[in-house]
Amino acid sequence: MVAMPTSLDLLLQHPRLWRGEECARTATAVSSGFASLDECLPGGGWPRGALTELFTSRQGIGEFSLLMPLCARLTQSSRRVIFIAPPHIPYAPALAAAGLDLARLLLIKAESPKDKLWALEQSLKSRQCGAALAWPGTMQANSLRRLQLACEQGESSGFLFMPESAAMNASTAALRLRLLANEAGELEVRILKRRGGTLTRPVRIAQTILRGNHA
Amino acid sequence: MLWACLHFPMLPLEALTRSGSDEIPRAVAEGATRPRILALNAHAHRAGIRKGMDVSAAMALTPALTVHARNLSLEAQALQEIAQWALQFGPAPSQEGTDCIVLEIGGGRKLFGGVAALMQAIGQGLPALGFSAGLAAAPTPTAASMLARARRSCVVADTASLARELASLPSAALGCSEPVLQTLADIGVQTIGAVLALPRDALARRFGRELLDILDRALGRCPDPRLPIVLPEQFSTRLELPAPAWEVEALLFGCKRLIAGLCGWLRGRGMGVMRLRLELVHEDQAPSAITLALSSPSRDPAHLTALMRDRLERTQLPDRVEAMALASEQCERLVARDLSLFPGMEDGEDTELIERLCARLGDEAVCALRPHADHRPELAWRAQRPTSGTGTLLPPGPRPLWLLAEPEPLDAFLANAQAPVVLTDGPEKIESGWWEARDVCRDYFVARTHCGQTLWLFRSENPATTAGAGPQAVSPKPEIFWHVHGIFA
Repeated sequence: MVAMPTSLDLLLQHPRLWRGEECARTATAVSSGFASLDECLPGGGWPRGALTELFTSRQGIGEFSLLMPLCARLTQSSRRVIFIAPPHIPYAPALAAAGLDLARLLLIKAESPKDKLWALEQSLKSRQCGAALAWPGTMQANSLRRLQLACEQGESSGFLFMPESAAMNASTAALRLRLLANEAGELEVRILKRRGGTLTRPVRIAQTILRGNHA
Repeated sequence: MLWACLHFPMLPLEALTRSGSDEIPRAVAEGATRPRILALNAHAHRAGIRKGMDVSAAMALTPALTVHARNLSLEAQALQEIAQWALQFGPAPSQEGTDCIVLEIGGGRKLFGGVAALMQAIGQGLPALGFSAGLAAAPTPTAASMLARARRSCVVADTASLARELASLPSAALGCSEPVLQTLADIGVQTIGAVLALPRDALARRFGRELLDILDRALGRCPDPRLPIVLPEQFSTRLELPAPAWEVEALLFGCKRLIAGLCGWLRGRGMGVMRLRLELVHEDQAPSAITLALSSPSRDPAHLTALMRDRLERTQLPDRVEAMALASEQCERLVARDLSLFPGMEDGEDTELIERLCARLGDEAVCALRPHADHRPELAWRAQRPTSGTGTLLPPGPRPLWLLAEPEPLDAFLANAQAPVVLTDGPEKIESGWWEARDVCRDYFVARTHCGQTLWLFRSENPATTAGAGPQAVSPKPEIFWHVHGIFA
């Protein structure tokens, strides 16, 4: 008779179990470093072992800074952070100032979409990799599924920076965020999809907080 | 002393066909005038072909039979390769006859956790090389090879029980010359036990020293020294394909055989390979070569095979491949390394990932970054090999996460050139590099555009050229230029 509640508890703790009224509490997550954002993300941070899509229409609104606290923490705990096909040169002095241990950072140049996808999948699969950030341009639905599986296998976090037009496509990613700059000069994060119900209220992060740790 | 004998009854066939899958009836024949079947595969056996049959009779039974001529040099080469591989189990493998390898394994008993486990490791490793073997172990090499040739896969640990174990073997297992065996058969002596029961002086009178010598060596009554095979300093093996192929899978099949041999050789020497070279031989074209460079020494067959697969898939072959040769070009001693406190955090997987990425995308596509001591922003960073360490160097002012490869004129960068840009930080004057052609004299600002982007701008008096400032026309009033150099993403 003791087995019953135990197995129910186990079931309720399972990260794949979708409970309507709140964020799935036990989903493994890593703090994003921004308290206001952590509050709205399932598990209190960026999902681990899952894929996150970030949609932006323009560069320079703080979209990359949003991930810097995570990258810094991962590299400092000697896990790899991998950038795949970034649009510009990731600037080493700024990354160092953001607290990244550059010895654990890997930069991968890939031209063809196939190579980008392959490199991303390999990176995510590796248990050594904490997070892989990619700028793939476009992505097929079945590719997203493969990447999601790779994340689960390697218990790594995958981040895809996508053009805003791609936000309409169906996706298996665990978390989908739209990033934009509002009139007040803040970065506005709108959660399009998360495990545990959608959130209509956007999260606003001031530029000073966003760049606080490295500006 | 404990000797293991690896007997390869199928060696004539396997030396020729182990690089391909075995799907058709095949046999190897020997003999100039009336060739006879020497070895055959399971398909041929099922078709009714037996060892010792005339080739003409065999062909009559199965017209589809492929008959190869025996190739003694390939067999010798195969034995050499097996000996290289066997080095991981015993220090000095030596050849016995044309189809056996004997090696002393007594010293490795403890390492492998007992004789049984050691013999099992040998038995399980051989199929990866493409050979099937009969195994036996005995206190003398002669007895071990008698047992193995008679297909008694047993381990006789002490000399006392040796005579009893050998007694039941047929006298043919003695391996002495044909007339001696014939005479033994004629006098009705069928087993080694019966030979041992005969009076010793009578045996000596009738058969001379040969038979007595063999018996004495087998029972450990007289010394039985063995000459170890001398192994080369670098691993190098060649494999003929049964049929020319260029499919990756077919090539990889043979490749796996070669890699299994290489890894055994590496284990025997306590080393890992740093660079290896695979040569693919074509009929008419010059051979294609694939060189694999690793960032840390490895002897893991799965890892090496995966790297080789990536390379093979991307290599354009000019023609079908007839044979392949694998050679180790650089090996390094594997040093013991500390395991991480937490499982799954070992460095091995990390370097494997980097190697896998490099193998497919090219060495220059994978790099790490480090800051560099230079005031000029475009020179204040360096790309480097991912395995080397980095220093930290903090910049004096705000620096953007993205640096543009080339500074872009501000007007061209902005979507709406009319909207105002607000400078929020600056100026930071950077003037440096006058001693070389790439001198820089700029005032840097942080700016926000009307659509919320934060940019890193600079103001300069000359059009910014990173390729070197040539002799500029000196105008009475210098023009001011604005460029975008980075994005605070």
